[in-house]
Amino acid sequence: MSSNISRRSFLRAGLITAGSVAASTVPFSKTARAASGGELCTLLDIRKCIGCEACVEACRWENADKFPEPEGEMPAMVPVDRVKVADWSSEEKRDVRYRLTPYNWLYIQYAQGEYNGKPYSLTIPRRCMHCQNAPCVNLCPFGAADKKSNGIVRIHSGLCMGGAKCKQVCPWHIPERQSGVGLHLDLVPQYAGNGVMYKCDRCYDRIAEGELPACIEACPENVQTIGPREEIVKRAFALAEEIDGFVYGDTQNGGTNTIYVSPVPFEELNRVIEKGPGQPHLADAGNAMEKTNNMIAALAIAPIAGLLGALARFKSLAQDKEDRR
Amino acid sequence: MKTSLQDRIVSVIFGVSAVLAVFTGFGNMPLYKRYYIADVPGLGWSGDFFTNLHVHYIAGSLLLAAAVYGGVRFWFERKEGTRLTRSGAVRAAVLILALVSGVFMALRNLPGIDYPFYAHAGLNFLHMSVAVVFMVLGIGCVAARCRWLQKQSQ
Repeated sequence: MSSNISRRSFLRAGLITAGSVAASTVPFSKTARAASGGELCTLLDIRKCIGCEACVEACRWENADKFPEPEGEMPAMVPVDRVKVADWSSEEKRDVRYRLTPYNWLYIQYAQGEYNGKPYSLTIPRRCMHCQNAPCVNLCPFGAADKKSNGIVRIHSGLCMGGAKCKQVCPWHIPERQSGVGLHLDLVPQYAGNGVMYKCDRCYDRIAEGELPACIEACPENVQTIGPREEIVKRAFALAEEIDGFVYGDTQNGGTNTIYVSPVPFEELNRVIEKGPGQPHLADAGNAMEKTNNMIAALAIAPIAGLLGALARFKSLAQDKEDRR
Repeated sequence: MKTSLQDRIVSVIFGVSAVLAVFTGFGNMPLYKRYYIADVPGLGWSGDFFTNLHVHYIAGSLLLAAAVYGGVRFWFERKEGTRLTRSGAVRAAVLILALVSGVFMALRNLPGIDYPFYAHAGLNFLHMSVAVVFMVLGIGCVAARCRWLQKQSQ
């Protein structure tokens, strides 16, 4: 067993190294830097993914210093039947790679089935979609989730209270909670908040330095490419046309900065993949903010209605005065 | 200041929408499911973040309309010696801050509008803080029967 694990780890390390060497020959960083003025988008050609998990390992390695390090015991939450402690900090749980966790911001989803009479077997890297109009950013009551001008959606761990509203409003329920850490411990640890939410931040710090996100750099198969959104969407549709394939992420939740291209329809992939906590779906996510934003009309009409009402009242008062005279 | 049926209706709208806006404002934090508020019959909707937000938008819109109505009326009646009381002036200032920050937050929810992180977080805290101050002042003023306006002798 242990020899299996070490062989696997060795293979992973080898693939990461190979991926880094391969990536160094591709001028990705130039693309990333060129788009510094606009939103950056990633394209994932899932035909190329071999499920080696080099991206997963690179993500874990690169972001290790951002991972939560709870100290001492978890606070006893109130009320205990409603607030579940989510503790992923044990060695065993930190090692989990089959789903998203606070220590695993990217994982590989497996899809096997038959399409058009032919069997298929695909592996799909899954992480935050980095939505263009992200509900987690809009609805976080503390402003802890933030969308940068380059399209990266990031949760600021120093401000997050771990209430998990971001997870609930996310169409894919991506952010994952680690209890026993964060700002809420300095406030009212038992009564408000419950840790910090974690998810992919698309290596915002590396991007700021003009480097590639670790998962892209480490991939030996060049599954992912990154660039200005417009260009990436065009490329995704051109690729889909070329392979008679399908696109996911361009319009889902009003548009995301993660575009998948697959030779198998996403409805079919969604049917066969394992879904559940930490394992996002591939269904056609509607625009979570659409209804809310339609209601902006009420806010626009309100001052006009108030003004007209007051003017009408003022007119009737003036009329009263006139009549009295 | 002569009051009419219209003024009384606006004043009821103001009161109801203020209470609803504060209630749904708190509901924007993950509290109502946690503390069983959403279990109270008739309040199940408050545990759903989107429904809660939609009710917050409606309450905010009504509050904005009522505030503009009151503001415009006050503006015209100033000539006749109507003045804000001290508590009225404080409440008006806090309400304006709450409404303006709320409108900016609603604008931020639109696609293509993003604020820098500090502005975004600051706006959230400003909106939350002034709403809490408005709630406390409101409860205090209702209890003490403070008026918004007074007629100044000319």
